[in-house]
Amino acid sequence: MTTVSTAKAGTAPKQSPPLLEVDDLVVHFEGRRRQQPVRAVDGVSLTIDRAETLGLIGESGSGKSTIGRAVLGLLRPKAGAVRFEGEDPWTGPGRRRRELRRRMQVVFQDPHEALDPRMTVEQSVAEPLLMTGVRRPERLGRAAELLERVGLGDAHRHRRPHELSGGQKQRVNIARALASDPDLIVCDESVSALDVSIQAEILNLLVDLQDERGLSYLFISHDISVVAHLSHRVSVLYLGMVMESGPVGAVVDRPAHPYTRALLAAQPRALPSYLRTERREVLRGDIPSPAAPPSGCRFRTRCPFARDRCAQEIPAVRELEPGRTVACHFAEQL
Amino acid sequence: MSELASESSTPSETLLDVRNLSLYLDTPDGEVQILDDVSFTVERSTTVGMIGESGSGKSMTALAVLGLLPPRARVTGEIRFRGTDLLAMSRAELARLRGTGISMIFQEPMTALDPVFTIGQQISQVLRSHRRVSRREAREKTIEMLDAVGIPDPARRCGEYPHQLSGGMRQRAMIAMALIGEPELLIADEPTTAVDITIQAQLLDLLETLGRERGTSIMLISHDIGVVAELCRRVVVLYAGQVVEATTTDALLERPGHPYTSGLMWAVPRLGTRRQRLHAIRGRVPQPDQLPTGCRFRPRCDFAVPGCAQPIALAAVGGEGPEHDVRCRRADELDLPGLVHDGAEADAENAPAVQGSGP
Repeated sequence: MTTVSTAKAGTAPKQSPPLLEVDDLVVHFEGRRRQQPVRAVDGVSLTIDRAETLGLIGESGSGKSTIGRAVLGLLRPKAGAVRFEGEDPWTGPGRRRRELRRRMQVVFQDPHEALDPRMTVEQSVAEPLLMTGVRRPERLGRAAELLERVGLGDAHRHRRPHELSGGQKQRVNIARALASDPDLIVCDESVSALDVSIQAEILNLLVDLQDERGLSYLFISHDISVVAHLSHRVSVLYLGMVMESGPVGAVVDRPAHPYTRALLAAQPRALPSYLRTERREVLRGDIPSPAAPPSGCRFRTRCPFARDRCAQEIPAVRELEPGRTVACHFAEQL
Repeated sequence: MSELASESSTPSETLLDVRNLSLYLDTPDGEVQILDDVSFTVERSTTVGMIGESGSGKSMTALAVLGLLPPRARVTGEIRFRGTDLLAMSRAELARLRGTGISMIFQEPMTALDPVFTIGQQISQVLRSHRRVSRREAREKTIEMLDAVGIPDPARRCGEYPHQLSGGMRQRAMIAMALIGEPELLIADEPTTAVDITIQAQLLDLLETLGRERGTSIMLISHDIGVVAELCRRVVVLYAGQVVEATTTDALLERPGHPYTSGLMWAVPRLGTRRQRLHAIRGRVPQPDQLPTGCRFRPRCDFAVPGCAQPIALAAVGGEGPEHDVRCRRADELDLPGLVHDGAEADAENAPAVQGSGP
């Protein structure tokens, strides 16, 4: 059971299909009577390799959480495909479907909401193992092991969620996600509700677990610094579309899309006054409603470089250099 | 150097002077101390940041200044505003002061705005309760104020209800409401925590501009050292109900004097920290009824020595430069890494030595 995942970790040759592939995903939420549907995700493609973190950066309405939910099968896409190891995890025979679901887990933002208040920590972590047919003593042993690994010792095993701090609860959620020995964990704002000193511990833990187990993460956050810290590659989303994607270093150091540039510029920096060289360029206006996105490029209403063409034509996702894409007509000229 | 000159060239006048403020809350398990001997000042026309994690007491400090503490709170010390002790004021006097002397904005504008009144009604209400102005004049001033905080089409927005505005616009409306009475001090408690980052940048710019143009002092409360650095000249760091460090923002970022401050700086991922081990501060903030003796950071501190179990006061650290107070008995001997190294942004190589490898 447990040896399988360690054996397949890290050694995947580059040519093998990605662990997860999202292809031209479209998710719309129907509005109430006669209202426009909310176009939460409108043609997003992405891939995640084994042992890799893909970061999704975006503000409200970008569709980042919706993508996470579609990947987990928590909602039905209107169009497009999600493939796990080349297979659609939601259509195959029941047994195969359950197997694929087991291999994708999730850690949400609110560590408290995700735990059953009546269960002890140990029970919560052992619960997913019920599905595997492992006997009780072994389940509890495995739960204790996992709790130990995430930094919760014997003293915490029999506590209930209300007796734990936010950081400790998030550790329980991570241990619980690990219990089914997943290949992919969707982290949806998993560290956003935590104080910074606790957040640092959880981020360190996520990096360590990935290195040890060859896990893949789909790491969703509004916080660019956190995403940049943990990710190998990032996709920058705006109103349901990918504006830019690529290796994190390239995107952060040489952003190609005006929106990425604006996001990076808006990032507050802990620097003394004399090291603040340039004035921040501040984006005008609000994020438009995803129920009525602008024509053409969705970012054009706030883009300082927008021209006529941007209103008429949706920019195609183009490859700038290998592994690096941008959806802007004028990326080369910026 | 130049920083020193600018420090001394501006004659500063103290607007808010909090001295030895202690705050106790009555709980079913007895009285617990939430704030201990908190002292700091806010000068006229300046910006002061207050940094702390949950449970540090930063919001309680703000509520104490506004006289908005729950009835089960007991306060000792002094809160002097323009020289008058607020703790000695009657409720009516305090009510007059709020809005015209001191105003506050909160993290979540929906809790501060009344859903059943329009934005315009609420803002002009503030004005009319403090000044004798006609309805029409109040409306004109309200529209002016909404325009000043960057709300487009202010005359129309005036007639809208809070739910009709976006999060960023609501926050602007709340800023307008806080500033309409022309207060001298604006207390902003995590004003940008609930908004998107591009909106946060707009709001920080707005606060900076309004503060400068109107000469309003701003006390910004935040958990985010970056947000504070963007806006504030001076910083006060709170930990477990005590001030542990206070100095200029520049000095704090260059050479933090308290191990907690330095640790906090290196706990936050930055754009350049890619997957490197972050400096996690072990343990967690103690509960107010389970405080360690002596230095409250002692159980989590890498530099603690037996002497740290003795009580320790906030004291000036030696050396030249701006005034710099630290509550640490080893402040003068420790050389803690800040976020500046050799005149540039520090990178991972300047990070503090990693201790007790996380979990």
